[in-house]
Amino acid sequence: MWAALRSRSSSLHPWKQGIAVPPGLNPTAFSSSSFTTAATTNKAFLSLQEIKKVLNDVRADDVKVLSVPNMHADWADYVVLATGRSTWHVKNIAQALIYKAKQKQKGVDRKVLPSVEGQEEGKWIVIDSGKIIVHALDEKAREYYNLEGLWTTETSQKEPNPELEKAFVKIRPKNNSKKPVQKVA
Amino acid sequence: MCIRIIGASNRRYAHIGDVIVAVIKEAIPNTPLEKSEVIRAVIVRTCKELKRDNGMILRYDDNAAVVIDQEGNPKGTRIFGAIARELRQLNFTKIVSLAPEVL
Repeated sequence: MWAALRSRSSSLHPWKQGIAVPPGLNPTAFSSSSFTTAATTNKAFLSLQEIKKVLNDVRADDVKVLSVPNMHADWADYVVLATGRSTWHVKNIAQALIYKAKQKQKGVDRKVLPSVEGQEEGKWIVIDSGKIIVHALDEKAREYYNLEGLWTTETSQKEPNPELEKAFVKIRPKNNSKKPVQKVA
Repeated sequence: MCIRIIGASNRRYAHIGDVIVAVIKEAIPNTPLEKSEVIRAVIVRTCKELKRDNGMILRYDDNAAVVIDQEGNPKGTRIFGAIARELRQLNFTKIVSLAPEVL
């Protein structure tokens, strides 16, 4: 187990060093400063490819990109799900994405950082960078909240899933009458 | 029943997006939450109308809150009913992403 941990930690080092000296980032940073303000708003947020690359670099497990159905289109285009092995790993995923966003806007007067939620705890961190929302979850949390189930059933809705039906059955009004309940048939 | 609004001193009513300390007055049996438990919750729907800057007025038929823990994770896994967009600006993206509809 220790050996596995050690190999894991050593395997994490390359991306740390790689991020500390980002080789391919400088050209984009310079170009963003020369763009007009309208372009900088687009530049402020990470694109899907960049997010995928970052998640790949930090070795996030089980990365899934889901496009949001039209009903929700006004508040987000894509939802990216990623799993971390531990709370530290989940936090690292979030940190890497924020770092990337900062790097991307180097030289811009006013940096726009993605809003991050749940960073202290590290079970479920949401990085909300404009049109793309990244969920970094713990393994347990991912299983518990089952976000991909929610988003994928949403697209092929119409018949409610059995879990929902059960939930509605449970909230039937209570029978307060004193009479003993007569069993039907 | 609401006990207190968090982050407000001497405010009588909570609005959409406020975190409150509440006690559970009624609970469905065989669920993780029990009666007379003290919890935190976010208000997501109010009968009292919510005014937006563009003149839109948002009003629901019921008052509803989502139970959260200290860190802001929802206790449950699913949220029923529509939810206001203001919650995203107030950093409740988790709740918004679980909601079936965002108004």
